[in-house]
Formats: sequence, structure tokens, C-alpha cells
Amino acid sequence: MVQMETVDKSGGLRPPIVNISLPSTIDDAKAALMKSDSNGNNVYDHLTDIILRVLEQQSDDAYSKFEVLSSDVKASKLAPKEELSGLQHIEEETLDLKLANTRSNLFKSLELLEGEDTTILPNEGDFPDLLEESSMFEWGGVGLGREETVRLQLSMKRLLESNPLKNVRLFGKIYGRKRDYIIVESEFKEGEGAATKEEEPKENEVKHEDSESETENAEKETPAQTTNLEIESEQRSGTNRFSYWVQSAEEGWELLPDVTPAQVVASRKIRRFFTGDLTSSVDKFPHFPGNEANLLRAVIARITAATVISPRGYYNLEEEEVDALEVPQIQVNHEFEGLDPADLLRMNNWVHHYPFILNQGRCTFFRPSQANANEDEDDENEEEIEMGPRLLTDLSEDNQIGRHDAWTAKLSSTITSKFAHVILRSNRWPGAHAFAKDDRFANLYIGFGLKYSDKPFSPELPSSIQKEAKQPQECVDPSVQEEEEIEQRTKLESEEQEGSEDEEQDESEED
Amino acid sequence: MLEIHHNSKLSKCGLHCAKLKSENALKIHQVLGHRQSRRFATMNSEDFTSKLSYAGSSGYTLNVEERASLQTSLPILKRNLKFSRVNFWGKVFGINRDYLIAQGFGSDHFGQRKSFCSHDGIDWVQLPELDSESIRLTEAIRGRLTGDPSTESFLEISLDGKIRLEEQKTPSSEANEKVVSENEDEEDEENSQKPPESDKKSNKTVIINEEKRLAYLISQIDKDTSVVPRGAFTIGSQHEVRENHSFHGLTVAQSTELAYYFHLRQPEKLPRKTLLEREGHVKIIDFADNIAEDVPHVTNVVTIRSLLWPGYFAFAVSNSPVYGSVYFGFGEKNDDIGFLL
Repeated sequence: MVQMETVDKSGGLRPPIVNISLPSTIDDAKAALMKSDSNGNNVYDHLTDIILRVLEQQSDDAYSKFEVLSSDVKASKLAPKEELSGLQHIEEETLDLKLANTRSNLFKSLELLEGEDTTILPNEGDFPDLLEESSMFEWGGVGLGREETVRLQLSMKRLLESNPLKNVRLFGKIYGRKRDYIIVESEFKEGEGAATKEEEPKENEVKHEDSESETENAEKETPAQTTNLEIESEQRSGTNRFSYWVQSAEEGWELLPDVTPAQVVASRKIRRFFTGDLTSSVDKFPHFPGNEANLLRAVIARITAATVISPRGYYNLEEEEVDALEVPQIQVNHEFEGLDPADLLRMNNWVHHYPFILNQGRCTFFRPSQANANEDEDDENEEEIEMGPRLLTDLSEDNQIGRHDAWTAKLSSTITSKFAHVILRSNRWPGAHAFAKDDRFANLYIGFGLKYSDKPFSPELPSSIQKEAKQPQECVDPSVQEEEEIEQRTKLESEEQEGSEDEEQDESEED
Repeated sequence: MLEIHHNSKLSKCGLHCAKLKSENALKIHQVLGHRQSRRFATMNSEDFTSKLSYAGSSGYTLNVEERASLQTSLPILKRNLKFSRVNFWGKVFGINRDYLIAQGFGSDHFGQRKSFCSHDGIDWVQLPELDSESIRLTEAIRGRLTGDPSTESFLEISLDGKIRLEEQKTPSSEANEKVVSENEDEEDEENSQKPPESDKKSNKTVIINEEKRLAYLISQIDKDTSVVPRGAFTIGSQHEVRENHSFHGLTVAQSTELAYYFHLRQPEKLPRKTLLEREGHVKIIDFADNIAEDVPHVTNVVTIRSLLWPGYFAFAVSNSPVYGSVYFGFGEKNDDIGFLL
């Protein structure tokens, strides 16, 4: 009983100081265990809860988990009981809910979304079977996942329906530091374009595009202009034949601006991770004319030119002999029946069907003198036309990377090679893949948008420091006497030449 | 709802009542308990296939054939070598062939771990342990892997200790067969370490085969990455590092902050004592802001991507104890990272 009194005085917080003896009866022991601390917790209840938890979970390793269980039980007591607090819990709009809301629109038809009065003509554009393609790529170990692909397909269909596009193709995905870009390639119908979207009359379209690119160039390329004649960007051909739509974080599609040769050239000299924000600035040396959207577009142009490939025979050149200054046209060979997997493992049975980009940043050589119509220069430049590999050049002619080939080909399956198809992986642009089975093929890029190099990157050095201007020479200040002499002399001279008009001049000299 | 109410009532009734009345609740929780015992763990041999789908946003995956073969071979590997856990680690791309990599663990996560490589996902070959000398040498080798473990890199070491890569070549078919038949014999390695006769007195040549390089790469990637969410691992009573059974996942807000992820590796930056107080985790310090608040086909999956080792992905599902990481890459460190940011 003495013990109990001490405990009461200290409020149950301090253990009794005097003469500790074990409780003699069960009731005493129970009472000792049930002593509550200031928060009203006691060992007895806690042990009860733990034992209950062990029995509930029936886990085999309850002994080893004992400490965890104990802390779990304690933690669950700390959680506020909803019915007691009287506060209403309001569900916040979480990220996944937001996503689900935007995604659910994809599954509805356009008529439903835009109201019944607007009748929308279905756009019969060319449209890939993404699911089929993705399962082919999955054999090669690449892909975005099936559910993602279905959503992407719906989203691309929506893009095709709501824009005047001839076709859409999935380019792939470029990783960003904050967000990734999903990129789709498309071709506008004849006479349609980015400009027409903004309620421009069709007649003015070409002019509008021109003026737009001019103003853009004027804004962005002022430093480059001083050094060289400006290289015109291509309109609806070469690097700008296709337009690219980008989607980041499922917020609809955004059209990327056309690429200029200067941007292609500058993008080759820098290496940069994408951030995921199209408007972020590209602060690299040498200067890149534009923001991340322009850089992305330039990198896409380079990737497609280097890695979009097809089996030999799928495309034919429309005309065998083409002018060196034009991109040759290709057409689908409808009689193409596909190549054997064994043949497709060889690089000479794959061809590039996107034109090569020259050092100039264009697919066709641009003679600056064309604009000037200077005949002398024209003659000189005739010999210096830069030529890249022809369209439909096969992959065996791709440059090697150090000791390695530019491409790695392999069969999708080693065990059941009877049904296997061939998957190619680019070593120059890590992340670029292609597959071909029967008469089908597709390309897909998933990566950082960085070209591989076997040498460490060394940025271009700043240009050499310009020579300082000559120091002005020192000379002795004229004395007052000398000044007066000069003054008098000039006065005399001017009076001799013209009498009346020289008053102003005199004043200025005196100043 | 009934369950929860029932339980809370029980807990107040004392031990005897609980024993009797909880029978009703038992069956339901048994199922839960069974699930619980399996769901913790990273990309282990039992559930790596389902985890791979979370890593879908990485763009890389295994094909059905590889999955099937790994599902067959990993449990056998685990049993034969008496591991308590076998993880699928990832895939390293080579020019000609790819390596699938698996890792076996004992009961302590920081204890011995062994790495295995395979071409087909069936036959596994243990990768050699590296001494400090060969680590120093292997570091000097750059460039792509070929996909053949016996590919040799000839390194020239000059007198002042500088290492230079001379050439890389795959041994001729005869030599190749020998290596395959002897299957990673210790003798073979020693032989390869011996410097062949060289004309120059001052410089000596050392041969490192690709197997060693692969082992080095894996240890480096492990060292620089091994990302786990905070609280997923804990220190046990024997001071062993083990998975935390009461880890329930990060909240949505937490899961998008880098500070809530840790490198699961031997402490480097902090004295060990502090570390134990901090539940055996070192904070991520090496790579900043590489979190991709990325939304793949499963909502609420947060993906973390290493910029230092392109191809390394870690994911964590918020509000659930599901997390893991995988590597699909060329096995090359991003030395240009300073220019890329």
C-alpha cells in the first residue's frame, strides 16, 4: 500500500522509489500493468492489442516482427478518430483524379464533347495500329505498356480528327528531367498548315508562313546573320516535310514550330537534357537560336533523318534521276511482300527513307547566291554543292561508331525462331528502334534525345579573344598661347573663304 | 466497415474476449496476412513481372519469353545457392548480345551479394568478385560492351601509372570454346591477369575481360543508385539491414520529393553512428532533381530516373508498399552530365 501512495503523488509518471517487490497476486499484477500514464495508455491494453493483432494476422514471423507490431499498434492509436473530431474530411483533387478526368474525355466521341449541333466530318487520315506495333516492339524489350498505348492511340485519333492532317505516326518519347514528351509525327493536308488554324484565309497562307519565319529569324538569328548569308529554311519539304505534335503530361497536343537550318546546326554542337518545359530557355554555348521547343524540334529532325528506316523494297523512288537540289519523292511499293527474317538481319536490306540532313542544316543544298543572282559566285559554288547519301541508302553504309556498327539487329525470339521477327536498335541514337515483320514495319524512339559518341563531350571553345584597339597616343596639351594662335589662324582662313556664314562654326570651335 | 468496428470493440474488452470473438475476423485477415508477406520486397524472383509493368514509363521491358524463362530459372538459382532473396536487376545492352542480370542476397541486405549474368535467362553465370587493383584497371575502360563475356580489353600501363586502352577484341573461336567449357575457371582469370611479353620494358599490358567489366559496372551502378523510398528498410535487432514490414508507402506529396528517397548502400557520407540513428539510410546526394513526376499507365506511380546512369529507373507507388528499380541500359556512365544540365 505504501507503493501505491507514492505513485499517486507523482501522478503515475515516476516509478516507486522505495522497496520494489513483485506483486503477490494476479490481481496485483494486473493492477500494476493497468497503471495509466498521463495520456491514458497502459501496458495491459497495449499488450492486449498486440496479441489481438498477432492473432488477426496469423503471420508466421510474429516473433521477429514483434517490435514492428508494437510500434504499429501505438501508431494506430495516435490516428484521430473521424467520428469524434466532428470535422468533415474534404477530398482534395489529387493528381490521379485530375488525370482520370482528362483521360475520360478520350473515350467519348467528339460529337458528345462539342455538342450535338456541330456535325463533324470524320477525317480519313492514315492511322497506325499502335497496339499491334507495340506488341511487336515489346518483343524487342521496348514499349510504353499496353494501357498507355491504348490511351495514346485514342489521343492520336482525336488529334487526327480535330486537325486537317493526312496521317499521324508515333515518333516516340523523349525523356525530360521533369516531364517526358510524347511526340507524334503528322503531315498536313495540301494547303493546310499551322497558319490556317488561326483563322487565316487560305490564299494568304504561304505569305503568312513566310513572314512568320522571317520575323522569327530576325528575332533569333541576329548574331548569326552578321557572319554569313542566311540559309533559308525549308517549307513543307526536307526537314520540315512533317510537323510534330508534342504531348506532355496528357494535356492535349501542341504543335512544334518548324525547324530552321541554323537551329539544326546549333543543336549539333550542344548537349542538353530536356526539362519537360517547352518554353524553357536553352542556355548553352555556342548560342542556340530558340527555346526548348525549337531544340526539341531540331533534335527530332536529326533523329528521324538518322533512324527512320524501312525494309528494302517497301519504298520506291518515283524518278530515278533527280536534280541534286531537290528531295527525291518516294512512293510505297504495293507489290512489296516482305523480306525473310534471315535477310532482315543483314544491314543492306534496310534503307533510310527520310532524307539526310547536310552540314548546312537542310536536306537539299541551298546556294546563298541564288537569292542574290550573282553569276560569278554561282559558278564558284557549283563545284561546292554538298551532297549527302542518297535517299533509300542502306544501313550498311552508315558510319561506324568507333569500332562498332551503327545498328544492332536481333531476332525477337531465340526459342521459337520460326515466328520471330527482326528488331533493330540504333547504336548512334540510343533508344531508336525499328521492327519489320512480313510487309509491316515501324520505328520508335524512346530515349533522352542525345546522340551517342564514343568520345567524351567537349564543348566548342569560345572564339579567340579579339585584339584590343590601339591605345590613343599621348600628346602634350596645347598652351593658352598656342590655342589662341590656332584660333586666330582659323578665323582668318574662314573669313577669307566666306565672309558672312561662318558665325556658327566659330562658336562651335570655341566650345 | 463492420470489420473495423468489430475490432475496435474487441481491443477494449481485454485479452480473453478478444481470443473468442476475433475468430470471425480471422479468416479475412488470414488472406491479407498472406498477401502482406509477399508484397514487400523489390524486384524479387516472385513478383518481378508485375513490378515490371510499373516501370513501363521507362520505355523498356522484358519480352514474354524472357519473363517466362526468368520465372523458371530464378527460383532454381535461389534454391541452389541458398539465397534468401533473388532480385532481377536489369538488362545491360551489348553490341551483339544483351546481358540479363540477377542478384542474390543473404538475410542481411548489406551482407554478401552476388551478381549473375545470362544471355537467355536460363543459364546463369556468376560474375567475379573484383579486387582493388582490377577495379582501378577496369575503371579506365570506356565504350560499349560487346555482349560476349570473354571479350578482352588490352590495357597498357605506363611507368607513371597511367592506364591506356589499347584495343578490344574477342578471342578466336577456339579460345572462346575453351572459356565456355571451363566456365569461369579461377585459373583462367589468373592467366588473363599475367602480362604477356611486351617489347617495351617500361610499359606492361594487362588484359581485362568483359565479364570483369560487367561486374565492375554493376557494382558501380549499385553504388550510385539503389534508390528506395524512405522507411522501406530498417535496422533489425541484430543490426542487420532488412526490409521494414510496417512500410506502407509514401504519401502522394512525399513521393514526389527526392528527400524521401535513399540510396540503399553502405554509408559513405555520414559516420556510422549517426546512420544507425537514421534507420540505416543515406540520403540521396549525388543526383539532384532527377525525379520525373511521370504518369505511366498506373496512376500514382512515381518514377525516378538516374541521369548519371541513363537507363536506371526506380519507381514507387504512393500509398502502397510497392517499389522497385531496374536498369535497362548500355552500361555506360554519363560522363558529360556536367554539360547536360
